[in-house]
Amino acid sequence: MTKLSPQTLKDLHKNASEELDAIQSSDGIDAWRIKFLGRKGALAQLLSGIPSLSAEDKRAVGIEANKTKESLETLLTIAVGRVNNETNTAEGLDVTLPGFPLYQGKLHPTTQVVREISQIFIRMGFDITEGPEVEWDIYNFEKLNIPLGHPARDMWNTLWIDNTELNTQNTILLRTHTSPMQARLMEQTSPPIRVIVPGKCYRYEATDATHEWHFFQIEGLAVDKGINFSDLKGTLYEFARQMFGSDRKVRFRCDYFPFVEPGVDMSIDCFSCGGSNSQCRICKGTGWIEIMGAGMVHPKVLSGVGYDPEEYTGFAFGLGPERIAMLKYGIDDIRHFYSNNLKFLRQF
Amino acid sequence: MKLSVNWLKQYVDIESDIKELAHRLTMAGLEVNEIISIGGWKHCYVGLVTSVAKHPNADRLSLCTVEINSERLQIVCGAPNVQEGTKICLARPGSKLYNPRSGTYETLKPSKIRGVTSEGMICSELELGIGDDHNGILILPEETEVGINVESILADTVLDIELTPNRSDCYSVTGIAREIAALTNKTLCMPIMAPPTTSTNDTLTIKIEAPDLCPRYTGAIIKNVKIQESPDWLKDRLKKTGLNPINNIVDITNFVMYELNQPMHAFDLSTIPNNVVKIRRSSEDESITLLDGQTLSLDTETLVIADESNPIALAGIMGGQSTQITEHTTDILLESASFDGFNNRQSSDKYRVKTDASIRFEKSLNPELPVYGLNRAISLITQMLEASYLDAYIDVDTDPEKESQEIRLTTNKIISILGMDIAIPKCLDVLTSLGITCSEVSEHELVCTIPYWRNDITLPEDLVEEIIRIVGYDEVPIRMLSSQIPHHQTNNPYIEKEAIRDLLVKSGLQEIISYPLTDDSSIAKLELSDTLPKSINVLNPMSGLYTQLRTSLRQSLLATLQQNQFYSEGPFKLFELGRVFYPSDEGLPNENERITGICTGQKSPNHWNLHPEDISFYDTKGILEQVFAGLNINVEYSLGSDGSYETNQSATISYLGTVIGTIGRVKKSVLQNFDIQLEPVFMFDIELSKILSANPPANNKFEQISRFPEAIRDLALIVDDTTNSSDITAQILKQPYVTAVDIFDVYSGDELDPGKKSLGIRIHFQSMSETLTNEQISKQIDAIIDQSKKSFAARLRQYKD
Repeated sequence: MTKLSPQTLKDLHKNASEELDAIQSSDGIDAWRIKFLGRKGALAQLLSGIPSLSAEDKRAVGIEANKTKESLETLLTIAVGRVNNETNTAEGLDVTLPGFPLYQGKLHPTTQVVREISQIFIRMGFDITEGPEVEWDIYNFEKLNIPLGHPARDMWNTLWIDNTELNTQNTILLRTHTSPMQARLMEQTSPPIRVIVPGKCYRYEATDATHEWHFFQIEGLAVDKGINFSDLKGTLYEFARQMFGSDRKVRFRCDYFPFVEPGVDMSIDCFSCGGSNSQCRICKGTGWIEIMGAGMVHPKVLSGVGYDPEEYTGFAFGLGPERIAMLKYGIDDIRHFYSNNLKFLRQF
Repeated sequence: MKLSVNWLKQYVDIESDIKELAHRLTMAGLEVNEIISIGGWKHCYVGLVTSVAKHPNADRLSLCTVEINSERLQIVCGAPNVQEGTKICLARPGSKLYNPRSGTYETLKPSKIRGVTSEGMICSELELGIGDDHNGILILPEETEVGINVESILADTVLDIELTPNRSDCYSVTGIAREIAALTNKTLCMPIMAPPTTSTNDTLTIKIEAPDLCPRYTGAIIKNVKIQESPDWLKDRLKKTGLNPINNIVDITNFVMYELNQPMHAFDLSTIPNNVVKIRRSSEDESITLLDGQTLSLDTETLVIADESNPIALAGIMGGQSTQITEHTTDILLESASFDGFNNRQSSDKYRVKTDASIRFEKSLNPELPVYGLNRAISLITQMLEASYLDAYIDVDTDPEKESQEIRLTTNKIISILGMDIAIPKCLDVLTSLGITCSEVSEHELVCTIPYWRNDITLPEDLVEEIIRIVGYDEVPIRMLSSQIPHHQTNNPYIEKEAIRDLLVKSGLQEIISYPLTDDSSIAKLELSDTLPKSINVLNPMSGLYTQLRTSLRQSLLATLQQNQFYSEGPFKLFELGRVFYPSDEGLPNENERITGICTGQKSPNHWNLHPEDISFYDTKGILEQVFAGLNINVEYSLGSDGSYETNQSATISYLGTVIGTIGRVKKSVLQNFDIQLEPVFMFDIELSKILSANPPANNKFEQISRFPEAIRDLALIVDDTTNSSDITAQILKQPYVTAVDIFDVYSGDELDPGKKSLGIRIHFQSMSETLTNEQISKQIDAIIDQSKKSFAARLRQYKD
């Protein structure tokens, strides 16, 4: 038997690798593996002489033995790949042909955007709930500081519901906004409140590229002791950053909604042109895009649901997910959303 | 509202760039929608027409000589009103003018018209973009200086401002001028509105018989007026605001309305017997013919202006035809009054008459205002018409004692609303600039007296808004909500519904969202006869297609399928998660949420190595099973459902004994009703509320996992076709050691008697305490076979070890 030394291991490695290079079949490779690396293979036999070595030789041989084994195993892996490739070319695949289709459905784009928006507020500690689409006049208007005959009612053209089958004399309508849920939520619970309410709304309105009579809104409400306008700014600024990019700027301008005071309208700086393009289709050259209405809950709304406006304050906001989706996806006509054309829906 | 910047400049200095001004107005709550520039004509000058002759080659054209300083130019003109000695606007080549034919602004080129060279063009209002008149050329006032660029006398900017209903004061030029003054730190210069100094007679009688609806009525008689066209300056103001000039008197009432926000009306005095005017509710048998020609039958709640016997105007909305100003009018009664906003709005809604007056009155104008309007109109008329004189002047105020509102504003309030402090002196400055009188009680408190034109300010919060909208919202710091996060509901149904949507989407269904309004005929197409509850109607539907709240989602899905049926070969797998509306005893309808889905077409899209079969009942059922598994609930299916389905190919789905929905093949006639050519179509329709939170996964309890091996046995039972396989599997599951039962094969055919089917059943046995022996298992199998014979008359077909 050959004497065990680093040199004999190197010799074995040389022989083995030369022999491996010449092999063309997987059977040959199997034989080679048994011959050199098998339990009773050449390497194992050689190493069986280790116990008889001196301590110093053991160390040197050990290092070399590990190196040899690792190297041969690597060479084996390469050779297996080489041989397999050579033997398989005859039955090759056209890897460019389409795979078997796993047919997936998709969520409606409104659902997707409502979800994306909701998730941002949920991360900021808001709960999520819904409310009735058919609503009392009292909740849709009166409790929101819009009494009967108030000129501001013109801001919401209303579809009225025939109450003759409904066992009531009170006026019923299709809610024109999700804001009635402000009053309902405050009546149902007590502060602290942090909730968003997505849902359908309806208006008696002719449709065009930017108006639908049936659309979604997401209402937001936060009420507690000590909430003020700077909290509103912070919350909505954070929303804008998460929704439209962390370098977004926001702008608040005075606007009027009877149920908030002060009332504002939030815009973000144009993510498309940044205000540099006077022909920009997204911001119409103004550099700003209106995103939502907001404000501090009106003291009359608070006292109307039995809260003391001197003790509790809050802010509310409302935004239109279709508008956000239109901005996000570049959709130019809101009427696409509920026409349920699969050529539209499958795009998102 | 549209208004001219030149007009605004009458009341406030405007030095800043108009774009910047528009921005500041927008930020302060007066959104400027559009800035319309009038001007930029470049080479357009005041010219004097020195001669007018016939064009040699065209009857309708004139050949004019126009002098500009020392230059004499030959101009071809087609206007009928071109005259020697008039001053006109002459555009020379290179000018930019509006071309009514192309509808765009174009550069004027030198031209020959019918063989004669024209060295320019005499312009109409329309061509200059300052009005709509294109019937003739614009004639400039005699005193206009010849040769100057027209830009210096005609150029203007019009702001189109979107007003919010709270700011009735801004429906006027002075209202907006006041905003500009406050925003740009300028002084507002109001027109003279002092009462007339001339002595008057008591020839006018005003009787307010409905003081609740008319707190104040002021009137004046002006005699010896001459009705004619208004002067150019007045016409110009009105045109740029979008009004058509009518005659001098009507134009002044409109001018004052736009200047001060006080709607006014002028009556022909000769049509009012004894100069008596009553302000009263109409009675039921009365009617009135309005200025626009329509005749209204009145009710008892309509406020009218009446003479001794009949209504002569719909108060605060529109005047009557019988008393209107005509070219023969010599004496007029001017009305400037205050009417109840609520009643005014009800009347204008009831009779569907919205006017410039009613949109102002409905916002409840303050009773202080009418007298200013009246004074202003009197002074304008008597100045403009030198022969006219004031004959009577009456102010009937039903509540002369009323006081201005006072509001206290404290630093604490400002901080609690805004989260920032604004020093009291700064607040005082801002509020004063808006016309609010303030006195500083202490360094932390102001007392503010609200002026008559701001009836929108009633609370300290309103004052805070006034301050911050002028100071700018940018000044408010940004802070994250620092209060405790409220406790949130567990088992939130909204989140559960989102999970159901995901399950359906993963099963290949496309979500749709459709209109919840429908009509009778769409519901009838479902052939459910009277199984659906009565639908709730919309009182004012926008179209015949949307007359009622839907009681089913099925018609929405089927209509969507119809509309998309040629989109591809399929699969068509659609669902909607939405509400249907049923009447309830509690007023508001029950809003029941449902999930309805339809599946048809190929199982998968076309593929080069796959020839997909059509979607089957069991594909559709598999989708539902996945949803129910996701919801952790076990449902039962039993044959037969409702009118939309083929009865022998549909099932009722129950959970804990309650029906929760249906699944099955849509009836051929229903498909025909919807013009659907695809077949077969499968549908499911589940009532969501019955399964939401029914058995939340949180109810799951850990079950020990057996350490002992599982044994599997297959057997085949022959039973009647009509036997429910689920009954057999349920019974087998009750046997000791049986942990699961699957049906792996169903066969009926030649090898069996007619009316029989064979079920291949795989049974899993396992014990928690021991390894089951063959003997133990065989004993159970025998028992199963035995029981199946007894319960289902089952026969063993085959037995495999």
